[in-house]
Amino acid sequence: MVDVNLYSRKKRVSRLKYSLIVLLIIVLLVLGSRFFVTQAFETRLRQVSRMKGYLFDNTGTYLTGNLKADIEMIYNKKLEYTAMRNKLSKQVNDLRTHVDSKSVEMDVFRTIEAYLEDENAMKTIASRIQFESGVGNSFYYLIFEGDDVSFPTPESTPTLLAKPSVRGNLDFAELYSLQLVDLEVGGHDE
Amino acid sequence: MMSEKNEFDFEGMDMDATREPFDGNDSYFIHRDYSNRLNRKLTFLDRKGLNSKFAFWSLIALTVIGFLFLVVLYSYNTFENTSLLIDEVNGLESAYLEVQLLSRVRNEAIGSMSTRSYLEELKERVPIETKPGDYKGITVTGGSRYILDLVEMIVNEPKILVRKLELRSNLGFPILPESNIPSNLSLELRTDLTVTGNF
Repeated sequence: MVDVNLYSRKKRVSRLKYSLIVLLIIVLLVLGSRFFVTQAFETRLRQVSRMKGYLFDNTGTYLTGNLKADIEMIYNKKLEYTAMRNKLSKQVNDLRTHVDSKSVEMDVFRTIEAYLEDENAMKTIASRIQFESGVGNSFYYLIFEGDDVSFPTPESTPTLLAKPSVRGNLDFAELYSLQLVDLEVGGHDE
Repeated sequence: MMSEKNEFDFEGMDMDATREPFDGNDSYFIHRDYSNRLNRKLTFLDRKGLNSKFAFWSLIALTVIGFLFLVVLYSYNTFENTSLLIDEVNGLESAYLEVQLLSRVRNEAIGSMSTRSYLEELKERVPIETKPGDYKGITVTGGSRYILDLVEMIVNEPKILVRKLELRSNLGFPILPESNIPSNLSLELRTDLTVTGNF
């Protein structure tokens, strides 16, 4: 009987040439992939550059393509603008506080003036006007014809809540009536 | 192809096809095409070989490592940096727009108040300066119309805040806003003022 041994101890070998060809293909594939990835990111960067063009023009920045350098440059510029924003924000808040205080002050005097110009009275005589810490006080007299005395009313609608307090009414020879009013304006957290 | 490759010992492939390799009488036939192939001159790359398993796994490892470093890692880093850059650009845009808005608000407010200011004129009537600061204990005496105009100017001056104001007459009965009382009547204005440095 013929003994046929198909087993071989010989190790299988690949030709160096084919191995190098496969290696070359792999290198090309890797480099090709890298190229496409690079192109994709560059396209995205160009999109950003185009979309935010106005911002770069106005802030004096531009994208160089070196991501790390660009990040640092934009970050520094952002810090600069953030500091500017904080400074402006403080200025605007100070202005707002100033305008609020001024508005209160003006409203107090306008309200006092509106009460002093009482449309029912013949004459107004102010004895004292005071203002402090957003609160105004006025002590004044209203002269009415005859004995027709009415409660103090302002000619126009006052801008602040006012508390007129009538201290008393006096008659003068049945021709005139005198009303003493102590007015307090503001400070009621309207 | 694989079977051919496996059967060849590339190192010893210098055998001539026409030469008889054996001493015996055995004869063999080699096809002409194969004979041409055997006669072909082998280069260094043809003669040298690599262990198939080694070659296979080396190429797989090379592929994986190559992709990992040159594509995956690069993509990851670039993606992260691009995202960070876009975040920073958005942050810059937000800060820029806020600065523009706040500048406009501030400039409009200051412009509007500056045009209504008559501090220079007021400074000639009241002992204050145009520089910011608190001015306390200001006392001005004068006719009722003069003092009333002065109070109106102080109240309407946007750069000035009235901390304290007191208006009295030397008689105790000043007539405001109009008076028929003789001109020897005088009013006394006592006030504490603050000139703002905001604008």
